[in-house]
Amino acid sequence: MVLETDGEIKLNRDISTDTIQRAIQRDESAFRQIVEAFQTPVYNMCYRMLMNEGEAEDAAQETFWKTWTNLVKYDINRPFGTWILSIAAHHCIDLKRKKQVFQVEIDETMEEIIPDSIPGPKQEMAANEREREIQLYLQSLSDIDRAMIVMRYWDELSDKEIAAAMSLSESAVKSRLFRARRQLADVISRQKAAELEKTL
Amino acid sequence: MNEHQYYEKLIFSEEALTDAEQIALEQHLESCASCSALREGWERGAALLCCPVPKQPVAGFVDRWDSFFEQKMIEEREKNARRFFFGAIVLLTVACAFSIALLASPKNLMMLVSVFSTLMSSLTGIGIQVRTLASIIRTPLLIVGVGAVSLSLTIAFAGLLFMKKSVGIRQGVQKNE
Repeated sequence: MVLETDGEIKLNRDISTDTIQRAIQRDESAFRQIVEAFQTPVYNMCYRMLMNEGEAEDAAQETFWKTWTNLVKYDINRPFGTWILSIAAHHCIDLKRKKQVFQVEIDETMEEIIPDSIPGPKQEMAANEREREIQLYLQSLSDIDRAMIVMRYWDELSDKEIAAAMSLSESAVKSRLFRARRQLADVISRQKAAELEKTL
Repeated sequence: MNEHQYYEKLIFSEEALTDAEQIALEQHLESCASCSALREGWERGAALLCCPVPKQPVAGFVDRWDSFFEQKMIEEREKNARRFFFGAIVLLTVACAFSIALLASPKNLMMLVSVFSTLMSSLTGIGIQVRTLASIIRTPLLIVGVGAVSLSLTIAFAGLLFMKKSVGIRQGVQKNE
């Protein structure tokens, strides 16, 4: 199940095995419970990967469909949350490859993505600003690195779990996460420097 | 590993630094602008990622899933039906092509005839056995058959008589009324 605490939603590794077993035996109501429990982490992963709410919704629905059709292949000893996030991440990576959406240089898109002002109340503005900043910086990462950052910071998966989800070795995950953090820091520092130059 | 790589490792470490590492890093940052910029960048990045709020789907996701699921199931059934239909067509085409290829060449035809004759000879053996059996049970079968036909004719005649009688009675009653 997914626990909701103070607006944060974390993956609980102890989802009822009975529910999963029933879903494996093609029980649609059991699978509906799974959809209900995992809708936010799956949608969040799709949204962070695709950067578009409509596409994220479609991708999340497709992810659940893929999960339903592949339930027979699910290894019951593996955490279900990790497995479903792995399907979501790979589905989004495939979608991006198919659409041939190439990563655009962050410097070129910077001004398009961040408008000068945001309408709305101050609190909402701050939340929106933060959200947009996160999306902007995430966009600078490769698809796999982005998926790993989402798993680490949103879903709080360990190196081992990320490795299992992304079919990589633990050492590869460690080095990729290090590279992703460095990339983020680099983009942020360049962005700050550019803003400073503008103000001078 | 060069000097910067060591300090970068410390900057992006997920584990707490020892006092010695912390002091060494601070000393390095005072004199290194690039590492200092990275550290500042990561401080902002870590602040953004420390408690990220997950993006929620628009309310009613599960209801939309129900419709999506239903639609997908229909598509799946249609796909299976199409597969079956095209499979049958392919099978038929292959069978036709095979027959044509077989009949077009005399050699293949002879082969087919020899296979057919082998099959027929074995079938003839079975036929002879069936004929012998039939000759034994022919007389009792004839008696039973003639009896069954006579019985059914008698029943049909009796039924007709009964119907005629009941219709006559009904007509008499109607006349009296």
